[in-house]
Amino acid sequence: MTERTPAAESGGGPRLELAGVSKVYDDGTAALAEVTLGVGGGELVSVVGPSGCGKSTLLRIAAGLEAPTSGTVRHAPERIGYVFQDPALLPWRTVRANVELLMELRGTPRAERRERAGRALELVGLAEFARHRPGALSGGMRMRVSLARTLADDPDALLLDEPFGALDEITRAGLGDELAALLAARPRPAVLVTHSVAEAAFLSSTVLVMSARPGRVVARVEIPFPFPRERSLRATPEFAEVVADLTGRLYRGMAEVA
Amino acid sequence: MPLRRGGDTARHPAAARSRVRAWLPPLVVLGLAVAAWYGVSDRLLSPERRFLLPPPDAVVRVGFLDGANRAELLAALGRTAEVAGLGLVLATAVGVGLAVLMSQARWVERSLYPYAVVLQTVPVLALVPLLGFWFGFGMASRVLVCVLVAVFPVIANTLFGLRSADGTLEEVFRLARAGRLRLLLKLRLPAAVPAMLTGLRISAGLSVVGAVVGDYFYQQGQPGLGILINVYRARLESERMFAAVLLASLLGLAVFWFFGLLAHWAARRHGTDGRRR
Ligand SMILES: Nc1ncnc2c1ncn2[C@@H]1O[C@H](COP(=O)(O)OP(=O)(O)O)[C@@H](O)[C@H]1O
Ligand SMILES: [Mg+2]
Repeated sequence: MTERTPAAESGGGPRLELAGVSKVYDDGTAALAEVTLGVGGGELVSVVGPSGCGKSTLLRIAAGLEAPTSGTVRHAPERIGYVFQDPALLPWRTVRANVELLMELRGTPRAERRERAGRALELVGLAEFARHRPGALSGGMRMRVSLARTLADDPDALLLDEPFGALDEITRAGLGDELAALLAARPRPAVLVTHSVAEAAFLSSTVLVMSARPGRVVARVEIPFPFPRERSLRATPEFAEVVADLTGRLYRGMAEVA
Repeated sequence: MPLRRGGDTARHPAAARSRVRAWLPPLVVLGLAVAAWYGVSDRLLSPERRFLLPPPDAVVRVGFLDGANRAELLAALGRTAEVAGLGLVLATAVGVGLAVLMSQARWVERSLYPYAVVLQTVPVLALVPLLGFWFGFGMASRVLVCVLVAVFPVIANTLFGLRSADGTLEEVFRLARAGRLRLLLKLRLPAAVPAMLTGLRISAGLSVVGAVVGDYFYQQGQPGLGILINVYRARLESERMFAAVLLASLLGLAVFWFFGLLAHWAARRHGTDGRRR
């Protein structure tokens, strides 16, 4: 929420904090300008913005996959769970073996791996596809496998790059609930990039609205509804108002630069 | 009236039809080739010049139905296959090893790859006598010839395959703090399998060529197909020479077919479903 708060004041736990981060790629593309972001444990911050505005770049910098051109990553947990925009599965491995991959790389014992992978697959509703290969699944199912792989690894922070993009509305809502439950069960910072303003509003404590490239934060909107949120919240006029406000800011942000 | 078909084909008429479509054209071409062969041999060539192209039945009769001749040919086939097989195994080990080394750092690739290319462009035939000089005219030189002609496709294809792993997947490994060895064993090498098999398929054919050529040049030791071809040529025993040539070709074909099947099977296991061939 409050991006300047040091880790100690935010009630402990892992924190994710970027300060004044900008990124200009080697080819001269200015992708991100002066983005400051602070996410405490158990908080979910959503990022919405036009495509190409640097949302993925922001997550990549937070994960340490990309170095910022200026600004710093002040705090980032050691074990970061990253759900990429594409599922990035190993086509020769079964779904279960894919879900076990990260644990395997970190040296988790086999029996524990099995068990955690099984639970993660239950969670994303793919238990009966454990023995299939990714090639036999639909795009949305592959994305859920990717999500299960990250959840099974039980990371200290979650970075999710449009993970629900290819999913139908019902699956989407279900996974959103699971995500909220996971964060409540073990508080850790989470950043969700999404195209859906309503999803951002429903799931997050704070929504960042970004401008067109180079992406700046044009609005930082705190969502006033307490957790846990009921699905019925989505049907209330108050919720509709928040969504309308966010949508308005999104369009104004797009117009500003373009 | 519908044709009566066997149980299997009756259940899968479409599959049977596509099999016929796959096999029929090459069989027709084979038939035409044999007919042309007979035509040239029986009509065009006078009896005293018929040794230039003996008719197919004479080749089969003299080469394969005569017990002693057949035994000699099959023994030679065995030796040639052994040399080619050994050469291929070594070429694979050396080629995959070098490709893995090159994939580890650009400077290694920059230092070694040009020489792999040189290997491909130097006429190995010119090296064959030299190798015999250095390593004797036995098994070792023959296998070495095979390795030299067969190693490049393994290197090039394996290297390509090792680099083919998706960039995002590499980042998944990086985020989990996977080291080089893990990355190689769990991502790069498995990703390289289809390309590797493509290379192996080419190399296997080349290795057979190498085995025949080496044998043909060295002319010493237990005869393989290369020596037999040369000996029969010198003695104008053209039926037996044709039989030997036929066997060498069939060996190459069998090897090519076998690795084709293997590549297909691996691609399916690999989850890429045989699209990459
Ligand atoms: N590695 C890169 N090199 C050069 N330009 C890049 C690279 N990655 C992304 N970009 C560019 O940076 C901008 C922001 O990209 P990205 O962060 O993927 O946007 P978003 O995720 O919001 O759609 C885009 O214009 C994109 O083309
Ligand atoms: Mg993106």
